[in-house]
Amino acid sequence: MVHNLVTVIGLASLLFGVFVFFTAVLGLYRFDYVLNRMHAAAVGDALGIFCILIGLILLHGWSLSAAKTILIFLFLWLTSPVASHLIAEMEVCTISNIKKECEVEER
Amino acid sequence: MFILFFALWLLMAGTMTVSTCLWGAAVSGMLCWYCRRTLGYQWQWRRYTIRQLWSAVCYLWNLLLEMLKAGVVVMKLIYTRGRNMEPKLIWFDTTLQSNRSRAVLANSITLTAGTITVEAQNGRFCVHALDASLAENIESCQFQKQLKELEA
Repeated sequence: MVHNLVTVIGLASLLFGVFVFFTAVLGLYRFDYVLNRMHAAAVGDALGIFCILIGLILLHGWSLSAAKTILIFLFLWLTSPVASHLIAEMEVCTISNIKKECEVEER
Repeated sequence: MFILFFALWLLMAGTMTVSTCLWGAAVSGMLCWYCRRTLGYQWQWRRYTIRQLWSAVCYLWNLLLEMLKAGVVVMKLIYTRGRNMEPKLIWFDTTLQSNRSRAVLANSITLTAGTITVEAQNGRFCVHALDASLAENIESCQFQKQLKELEA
């Protein structure tokens, strides 16, 4: 009974993760500016990866593979913000008129 | 650092034989030496109180929840608003003192979908928000309050 329940939750999590990635790809097409598109991609990086990997852990059970999956979380969530930050910084530094694309506010 | 490399080696190897341990120790030692000598890494022991450790755990838990919540919010925006967004670039000062806390705050903001840290220099942050609603009170967000507690 418990095993079936865990399998169902794992499958649901996996399917929701696939849906999140579909939404992220859709967002890449729906948004029209690079910084906005990065937010759509970030949804896949955070929520999509989380749902898919949690789904895999639940389906596979607690094992060495699950520990390695947690390592993937760790490496991905440590490196992804650094890459995003560099791309965003490059875009803001090189664009001639950022105010045309978005409102700039000083607080 | 050596222990971290060694634990990583054992985890990736998946077995605990004498040969694995010896190879692991040798490779970890070499990597440790390379990191210290060439990359200039230094490992410092710091004493943390139980309260600080508990605050760190609470911070990570809060970060995970915020990441998931923000992901759902951005998904909703993708379906409902499409190109009718009001993106915003916000400059604000942080009250955090240490570089470590500032780096953690910058990474946390970027990990939360809907906001990206564009620049973080000398306590001045530049954050791009997908929509104005996501940028409300960003300069006094929960992350900053928790990191302030950790700094104390």
